Amino acid sequence: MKIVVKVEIETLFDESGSVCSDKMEHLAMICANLQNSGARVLIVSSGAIALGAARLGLNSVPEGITAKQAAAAVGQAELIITYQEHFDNFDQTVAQVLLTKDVTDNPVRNINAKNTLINLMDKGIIPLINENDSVSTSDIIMNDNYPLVLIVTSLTDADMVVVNTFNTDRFILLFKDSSYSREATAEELLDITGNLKNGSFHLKQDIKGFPDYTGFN
Amino acid sequence: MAEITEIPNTIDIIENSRMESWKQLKNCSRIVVKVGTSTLSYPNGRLNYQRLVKLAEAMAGIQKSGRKTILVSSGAIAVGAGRLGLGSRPSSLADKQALAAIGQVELIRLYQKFFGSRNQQVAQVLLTKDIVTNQERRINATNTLNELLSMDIIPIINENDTVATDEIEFGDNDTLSAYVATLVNADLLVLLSDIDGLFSADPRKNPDARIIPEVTEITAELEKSATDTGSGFGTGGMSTKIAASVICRDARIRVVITNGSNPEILWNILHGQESGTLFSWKK
Repeated sequence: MKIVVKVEIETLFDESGSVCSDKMEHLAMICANLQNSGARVLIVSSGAIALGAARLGLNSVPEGITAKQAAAAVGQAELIITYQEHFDNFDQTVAQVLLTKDVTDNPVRNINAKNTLINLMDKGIIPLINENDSVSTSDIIMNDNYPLVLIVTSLTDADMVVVNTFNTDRFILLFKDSSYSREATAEELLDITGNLKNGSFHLKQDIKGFPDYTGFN
Repeated sequence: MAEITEIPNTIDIIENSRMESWKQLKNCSRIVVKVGTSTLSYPNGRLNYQRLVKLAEAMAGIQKSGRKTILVSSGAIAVGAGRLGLGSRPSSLADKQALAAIGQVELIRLYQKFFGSRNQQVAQVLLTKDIVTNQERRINATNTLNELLSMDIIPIINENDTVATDEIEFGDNDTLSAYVATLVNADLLVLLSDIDGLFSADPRKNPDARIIPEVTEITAELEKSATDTGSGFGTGGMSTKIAASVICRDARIRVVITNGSNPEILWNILHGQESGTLFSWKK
């Protein structure tokens, strides 16, 4: 089972605007736990520009595309380092994959990105995916990486998208080929994926409100 | 008799002209430094941390002197192989890409740590050959790099291996670093290598081989004599360095090929001391 985890910026920061280590550690624990259960996790994380701005001592995210690109180049480095340091607590290696929108229409890029992601997952490594803001501006202009989440979901044929929002204990689960979504706590999320058999959905029926997805491969 | 006295005069003139070319490097203010895997790691592929520390020390110092520097660093695949405990560089493209994605995280973490302890902020910029062929990408990359330089941040550049392929991409950071130098209008590209410079013959085979201190034009003979060398983890040889020099020649950017085993050599270069081979283009 392949799960794309979309991490919102609110998850990573505390009220003062700096990285909240407790939240990061909790998120890393949940993702490492999902990996241990046999699922494969990919992370699409926001936060590079905000982290870059914080590292540069700015009070807020800079205006202007070029200034944001520069902040992103600083912050992306900070972001992957922060993730790896927290995942190290759970003996989990992460890898950085920076994509541009041409992965959808350039066949060579498409195959390369797909192969890299699948190869990383086969090796038990969590890909940390972001848009390559230094050469591309679409995420910066849109101010959201949902399009990237959809691209990653399609590239990897992922089964589920998990949106981590507000805090590290609230998740929105979106299922492939289904308009069905639900909210779950971290415990429920792990319970759901921990009860999967042979890569298909075979869910504990006692999870309230959760549909029977057996037969879904 | 006249002929005999002319010879030392000619040599003196060449010597003086060469020393003058090296001395002019004192004035360089925008410097791209490229460091290869073989310089950053041991022959077994494991990282030489001390080398990274020395490189950060030298570059942070040069930045503090008021010059702007950019680092183009290889090594992600070797670091990734080390993290996974692999003994040799993988042969398949897919494995190289996966290891690059893993190793880049660790590599940038180490650079941020070593530069950070010298109060020097760094940023990560991953590029593909799009910067040559795609105008929008080139403009974006140029803007990002110039903005970082104006903010006194050292960009650390690598090829974006996870989406690149052998056929359509740079494949080696010598060529990438030359294009980066043209993007930011650098006045000097320094290629830190595991050899001392460009030799008159293969130094492993010919004991009379000596370093050519200055090259002012790239002849067909020179291109032909540049044979590929390299250890198990590096990809570049002299031929990619010559190719990089050709790109820089067209943009009138000087190139130095030198031994990176002691990164303090960057200071020697900027002090105008002869240190390897200088490609200086005549107007």
